[in-house]
Parts: sequence; C-alpha cells; structure tokens
Amino acid sequence: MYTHLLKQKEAVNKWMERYGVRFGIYKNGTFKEQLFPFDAIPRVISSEDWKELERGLKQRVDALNAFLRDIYTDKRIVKDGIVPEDFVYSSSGYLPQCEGIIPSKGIFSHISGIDLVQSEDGDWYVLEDNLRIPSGASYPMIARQLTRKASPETFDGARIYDNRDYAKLIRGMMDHVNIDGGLEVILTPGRYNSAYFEHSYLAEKAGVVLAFPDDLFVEDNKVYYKGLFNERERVGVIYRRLSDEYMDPMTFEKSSLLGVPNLFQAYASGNVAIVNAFGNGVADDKGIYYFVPKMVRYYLGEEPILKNAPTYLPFFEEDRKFVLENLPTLVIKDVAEAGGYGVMFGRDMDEARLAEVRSLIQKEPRRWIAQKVINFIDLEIMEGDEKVMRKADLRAFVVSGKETKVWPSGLTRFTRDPKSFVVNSSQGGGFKDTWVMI
Amino acid sequence: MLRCVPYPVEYQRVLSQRTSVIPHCTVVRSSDTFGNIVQTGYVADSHDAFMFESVGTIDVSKKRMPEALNPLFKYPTMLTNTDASMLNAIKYIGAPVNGADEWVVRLSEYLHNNFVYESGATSVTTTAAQAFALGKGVCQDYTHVAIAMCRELGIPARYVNGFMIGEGATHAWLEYYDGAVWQAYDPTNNRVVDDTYIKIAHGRDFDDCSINRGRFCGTAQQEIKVSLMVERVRKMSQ
Repeated sequence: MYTHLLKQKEAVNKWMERYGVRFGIYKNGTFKEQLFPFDAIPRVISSEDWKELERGLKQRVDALNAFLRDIYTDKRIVKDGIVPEDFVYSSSGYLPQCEGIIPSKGIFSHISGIDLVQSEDGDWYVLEDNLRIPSGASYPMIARQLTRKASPETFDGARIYDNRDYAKLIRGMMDHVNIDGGLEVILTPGRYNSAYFEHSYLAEKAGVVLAFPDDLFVEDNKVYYKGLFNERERVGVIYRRLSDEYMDPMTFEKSSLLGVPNLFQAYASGNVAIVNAFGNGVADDKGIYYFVPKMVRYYLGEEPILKNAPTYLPFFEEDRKFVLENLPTLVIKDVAEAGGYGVMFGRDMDEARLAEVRSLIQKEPRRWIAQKVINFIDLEIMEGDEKVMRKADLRAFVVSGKETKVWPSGLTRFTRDPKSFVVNSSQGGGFKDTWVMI
Repeated sequence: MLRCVPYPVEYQRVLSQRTSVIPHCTVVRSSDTFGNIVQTGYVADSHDAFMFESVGTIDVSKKRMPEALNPLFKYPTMLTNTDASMLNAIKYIGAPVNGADEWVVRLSEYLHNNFVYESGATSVTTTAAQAFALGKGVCQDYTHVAIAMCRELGIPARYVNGFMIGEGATHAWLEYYDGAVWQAYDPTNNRVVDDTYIKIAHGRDFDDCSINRGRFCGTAQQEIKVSLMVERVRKMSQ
C-alpha cells in the first residue's frame, strides 16, 4: 500500500527541512529548534473505525462547548452538584473576567485537539482535551502535500480522505464567527514561538493575514490592523496563537509585551471574535477531564462514545485512599502542567520517592490526578532500515463553526525511545501522517 | 485603562463626574467583570506625557444592601496566599465565635499590634505571605494579609481600592461577606469604613482593581506623579 512511499522518506524529510518544518523547544531557558522527524509509515484508520471516532469526537467537543457556556453564565452543572465548585474556581484556566461573556455565535472552543490512544482491544481512549491553542495540524497537512509529490503512485486511486483542506475548515469557521465582516487574522507571538512554522503555513493556506502583536491596536473599543503603509483596517476575527495571560496587558499579565492593550474589553463588548475564546482552560484542566463523560450525559443526555482513561481524583476521599494504596500501578499527573511535563509513573519510583509523592498528594489533593496505565497499541516506525514498534498517540482536530466537524486526519506522534510512554512533541519524538480511509 | 470613577452601588450616589485626558483621545467607558467602571483609550501620536484627571461630587451613605455571594472571593490568589506563620497567627487570634464581624475586628486589632506601616518596604508585587514575614508594609499589604486570613477561615473577602477624606493618595481596604452583606473594614487604620470613604473598585486582590494601567512604545524613562484631594463639600442630612 505504501512500499514506494517508504523509499522516499529521505526526500520528504529533506523537503520538510527546506520548508522549515521545525519544532522549537525551550530547555533550561534557551530556545532550541529541531526538525520534527517524519516517519513515512502512515497510521491507517479504517472507514468503520473512523465513523465511530468521528461521532465520539463531535459529541465530546459539543459537550465541552456546552460546559464552557454554562460555567461562564449560570453554572448549572455546579449548582446541580455534578462538578464541585473547587474544580472551577481554583482552576488556573478559569478566568473570572469572562463571566457573563458569550462569544460570537456562542462558540468557545473553535479548534479542539483531542489526544487519543487505541487500546489493544481496539477501543479509543481520550487522554487529554486541548481547548486552548492545540497545535500540530500543519504537520500532517504538509506531510501529505510532500508525500503526494514524492510518491504520486501511492495515492493514485487510493481511497484516502484528502486532508489538505484543513485550512478551508478553519477559514469557514472564521467566516462564521467574524464580526462585522472585518479582516481575518492569525495572531502569532513571533518567530521564536515553538509553532511558528504552523502559524505562517496556516495563514498562507487559509488566505488570512499573519499578524504580529504590534500590527494590532484597539481604538474606540474596536480592533484594527495596521497595514504595511500604515493604513488601518477593522479586524473581525483573531485566530490567536498566544495564550490568554499574554493577550492583553491591561487585563492579564501586566508585563506582557506580546499582547494588544485593551483587546479584552473589545472582545467583551462583542466587537471582535477570538479563536479560541478566552477562559477555555477551565475545561481542559486535567482535573476537569474526569468530569467530561458526566458532561456528555448532563448536557446532551447521551452515553459517551469515547472512553476516558480510568481516572482517580485524590480530591475525593475514596479515590485518595485508592491512589495512596495503589500508587506503583498508576500514573500521576500534575493538573497545572501540560506538554508531557509533570507526569510521573508509579512503577518507576523507589520506596523513598513513593513516600514523597504520597505526601505530596495528601498535602494538595486537588493538584493531582491518577490514572491507570492503558496498554495502548504500538505502531510500526522505521528505525534505519528496520521496522520497530513504538508507542504512539493521535491528536484529532475538531473544528466548531456553523457545525462541528472532525478533520479526517490528525497528528500521530510517536516516541523514539522504546521505553518511553510520553509521546508529546515537546519531549522529542516524531510524527506520522494519519490516513483515514473512505 | 483607567478605574477612576466611583463604584456604581446604591450607597454611593454620583452627583457629577468628569474624566479628562491629555493628549486628547477617544475614551470608551465600559465595566469589567467585577462591575468596576473602566475607561480605555489609545493615543497613536507620539507624546512625552500622559495625564488624566477625574473630578466629581459624590453622596455616600453608610447603609449597605444584601447581595448574592460570588464564590470566587472564597479562594486564594497569588497575592493573597497564606503560609505557615500566617496560619499560626490565625490560631493565635482564635476562631470566630460570633460571626465574621467580630472576628474581623480581632484580626484588625492583631495587625494593628503586630504589623508596622512603612512605605518603601514592599512593592506592588509583594504577596500577603511576603509582607507578613516582613512585618511591615502599606495599606495594600495590610489588606492582602487580612483578605488571605479571612479566606483561610472560610470568610469570603475582597480587595477594595478607593479614597478617604484627608488622604493624598489612593487607599485600600477589605470587604468581607457576613452571610448577607459585604461589610467593609480598614485594617490599616484599624477602623470601620464609614461615609468618609469612597469606593472606586473591587476585585480578588490589587491586580484586579488598579487605578491606572498603560503601555507605551519607546525607550523613554518614565515617572509617575499622583495627586489626590478629597474634601467634604457639605454634610448631608441623615
């Protein structure tokens, strides 16, 4: 199915280097850029598997959007005792500034990146929801473009969904939420952001303006873009690739030089759409994750199609007891961390470390979650001329505009270290294209 | 971004108020999530000074109405954290025996005896725990420490920025929730807040209610001058 393509791996990687397909990493305070190694063996998802996955993803993202709308207005789910108040107010992603604000068309999470793994028995498990600025869609997009170029015969007549229209999905969503038909921009913090390649590539492909923070300003509570010749143009939607706290030094982090002063007031007044909305962090907190299946039942009245990894919250006494007793078999995650940081495997700890972690959990139960380690399937990758098996996950992208649509592809990341279970690209590792069969 | 208009609440009746800025620009009035009145603007042309002035007359009464509680004010923030020595102090002060009012008076008394007013010892980024360890600070620090301790005991508390008759600079105090009404207390002066105080803004801590925030592009050195005058025009009939 892809024998010819495998021979083109070097050519594809070389092209990627030319296009600047890189991933930046901040390690010990210094910025290092590295290539994001591409493995030519695709992850293939059958049409049947995909239909189920697609339904599950739509359902999950619809519930998460309903949750965000509820949390920033009536908080019915808290009043009805489904989600404890603590998990909302002490979440670092909860922004009180967003209270009462309904974003354009009522959508909070426009682009959701849902991280999944497939277990040995074929079930899909969600590991994490990313509702702030999930990155990575550009990698399979350009991989498809380049593999088609390097090996056209592989794709000739193959029943694979074309994934190169991701930018069109984004563009359609931006058109939908745009306010007053204003300019559409992707706001990048700049060249030294770890995903800068993606920002420029998506802007190019979606046909929108790539804006730097200094290009935007707020006057009379409206956002304007300063063009090359100092002309001004009203902005209707900003797909920002900058996290909430750096977006507006008047409302959030005072020292931020990246933000656009008074942007938040313009947004709160309904004069500009922000993709994704402010305050989404309250719904993709690792502690809130536990409640997502409950949200599906609560808001949609449906049984959740996708499974959560079995999760325990030390916040609840019963769970805490279980976690303290079964620590060596569990993986412990710090709810405030992301990008594969703050993840600890009980089985790797000696007695002293176990005791230390137990006391951490007892001291701040709200800060941790514990999960059972899932035996998820390994995927084949090429290591030199040899095929080896490695852990891999899938980041699926769901775009919520007029309708909720799942992009028929996704970013498959794998670990290069045979002993590692952490597949986050911030931790090194490579990626594959994801083929969804028609 | 300016917060320089009295907080819109029934016990503060604004008779007149005017904000002016130099250089002139469009100033938009809106409110933030806490109901504080904010005014925002943008000056595109180069300038070497920016000035704002807020002038007005207000009628303040002492009577406060019941309000629903926003649970947000129960939870600590970066600036209103507690540490072991603050927990010890809480133990020393003792648990509330007769509701929040009585406890806040004792708390204020404790700070009055154990915390020294000294400007320059702390800055706008000093946390409650840091100020408490120093044992000194300004009204902002008194207020942060008091808020942190209230919240630790389960008494919802919020930070208030405002003016006080006879003071030449802005002042800060706390409001705590007694179960129905947000009551106000001034730990710096160890007294109840009455009609000689004008409330401008409230929030979880100082960061939510700064009087002015701004940003300029350029390499100039900067300096801020503040002057404030609060005078009684006439005594209103009760």
